[in-house]
Amino acid sequence: MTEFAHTDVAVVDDPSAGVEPVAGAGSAGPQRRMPLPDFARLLLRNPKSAFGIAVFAGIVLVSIAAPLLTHGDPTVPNDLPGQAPSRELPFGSTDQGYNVYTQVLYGGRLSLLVAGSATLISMAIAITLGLVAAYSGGWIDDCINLLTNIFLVIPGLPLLIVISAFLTSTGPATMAVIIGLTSWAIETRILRGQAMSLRNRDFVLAAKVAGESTPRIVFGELMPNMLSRIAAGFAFVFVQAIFLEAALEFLGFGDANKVSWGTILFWATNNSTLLQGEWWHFVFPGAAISLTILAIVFVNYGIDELSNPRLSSKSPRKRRRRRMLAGILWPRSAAA
Amino acid sequence: MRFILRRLTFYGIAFWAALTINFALPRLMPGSPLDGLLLRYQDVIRANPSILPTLKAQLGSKDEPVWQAYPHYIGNVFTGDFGFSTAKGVPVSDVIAQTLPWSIFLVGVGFLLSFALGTTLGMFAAWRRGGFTDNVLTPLMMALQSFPAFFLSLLAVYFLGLRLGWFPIQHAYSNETNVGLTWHFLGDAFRHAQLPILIIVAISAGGWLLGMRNVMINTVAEDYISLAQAKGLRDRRVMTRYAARNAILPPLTGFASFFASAVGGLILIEVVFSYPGVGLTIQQAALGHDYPLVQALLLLLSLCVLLANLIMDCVYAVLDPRVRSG
Repeated sequence: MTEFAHTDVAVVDDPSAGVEPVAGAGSAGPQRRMPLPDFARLLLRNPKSAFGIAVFAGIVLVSIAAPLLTHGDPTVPNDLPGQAPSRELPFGSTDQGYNVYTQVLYGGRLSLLVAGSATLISMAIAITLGLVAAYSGGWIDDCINLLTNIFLVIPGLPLLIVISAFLTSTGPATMAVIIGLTSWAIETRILRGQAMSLRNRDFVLAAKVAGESTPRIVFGELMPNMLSRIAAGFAFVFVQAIFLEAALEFLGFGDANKVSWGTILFWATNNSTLLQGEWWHFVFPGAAISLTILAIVFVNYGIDELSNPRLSSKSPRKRRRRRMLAGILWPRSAAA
Repeated sequence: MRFILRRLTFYGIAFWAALTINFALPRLMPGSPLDGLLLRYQDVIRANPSILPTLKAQLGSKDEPVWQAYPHYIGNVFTGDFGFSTAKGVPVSDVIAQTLPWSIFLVGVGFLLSFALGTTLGMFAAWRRGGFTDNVLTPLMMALQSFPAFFLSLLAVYFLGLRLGWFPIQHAYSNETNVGLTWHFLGDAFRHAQLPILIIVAISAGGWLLGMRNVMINTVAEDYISLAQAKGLRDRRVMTRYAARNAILPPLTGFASFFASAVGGLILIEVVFSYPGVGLTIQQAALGHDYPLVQALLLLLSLCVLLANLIMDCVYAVLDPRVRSG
């Protein structure tokens, strides 16, 4: 597991930010490029992340296959209003006669799409800023670092609320953009820290000497060596995005006519279904959001364990025994 | 001292940045927020014509160019003139004075409880790896953390409040209670705060637990722990005085991020419980397009996060001599 020695996910927030990591060139041992499939295979072997990936894949599949799993239209109130879950209505129906089951299945599409797009925007910013800052150093690094630190201390949800207050309409696309533009700071900081430890490696210096341009070195040399950390970043930002999207819609800042997990919850509280005892109206969409976040949290948990084997909850003795057994069965992989 | 000074400079810059974002946002948006406001709150503005210059500086208007409006706006903020809440018809500072204490109460108590609970459990989890705390409580707290604050609040309101009737489900005190420094009022306010605080603890204790556990796992492997054990000290003493004491600093720095996310969670919790704090107010103000109030509250929340960071820096400097000299 030497490959993971540098992907320290459990970043300790140092108050004296910008402390130069020990860029000891030779001492760290040979670092070989890690292609993503290897990383993915390790993730699937870890029970926690394998569970997380399976659950998340299931949620995505169910959302995509929504038309196959339900016959109703989520925007047409076809059923008897206020019905408790039953065989015909697995998740019950709302006060207006919407089928909650249909709404939750279709709602996942919009929620996942908005959160996914926001994550792409946010990670694109984080990768660019973090890597350019770490590679360039000097005043560019200072500026990016200052900007990152400022965005870290401005609370995200209130900022989003204020932006939505000024916007005349916040459709799904707008929402993805504003979430993406406000949630890149933490990952920028983490990626910058990790890129700094790679900055003085031989392959980067060689590329520099060979006269490669900065974008080429950053995206062609640095980035491929950080893929595992970047993958973890995607998972981390996605959790934020799915939470922020649902929160904004729940608070009434989304397009309430579109069906997503957040807007179902918005209607559930707006129609005071709570007081009438219609628990199914908010429990199922809320559970969908929580399950999605839980799945990703498990993936992150697995990544943490892979990068720092000490964190594994197995007792060291048991682990040693297992490793010995693995060494006998698969001599090659255990040597890694 | 130099460390604190450096941080102070940064917080100064960050506050200025928050001010500038506040100033720039309404000017960057499509359409004119000021026109919409003038139209929507005609009566309020006609009754108080003196608020118009401040409004223009806040939201931008054609007859005041940016280079004049910017100093005007900053000057207003530093003289404490945050404008007039158009929806409530009172100065913004009055609204803040009424709502802020409630929020500070919730977050303060919630923080202390979750920190104490989280770090204690994290200590046990790391000390007896594979034990009950580690195998059962750690995953449980992690799972709780993945419930968004609003969903957990809704569940709690419905099941603990409505069904079981253990807690009051909304507002900070009962309608029939008179506000004042009486035992009756304090008791009533405390009862109403129980459930919101419980939610804050439930969603944030997991973070402290994991932070403490992950640092302490490394501390436990240190030589001085083995030495303490070899000396024959009692297990509990080694755990608290030797391992936990050295492990508690790094998780403490997580306070900054805890606070920033707590502000977000607070808004959601206050909205679900109709708790009259800053969070509920900013949501209502934003939905009602009460821009002066919204802007002032964003500034206030940013300032609170900055102050919390500053306090934590000072605590850290006191606790860790390495920071002071560096």
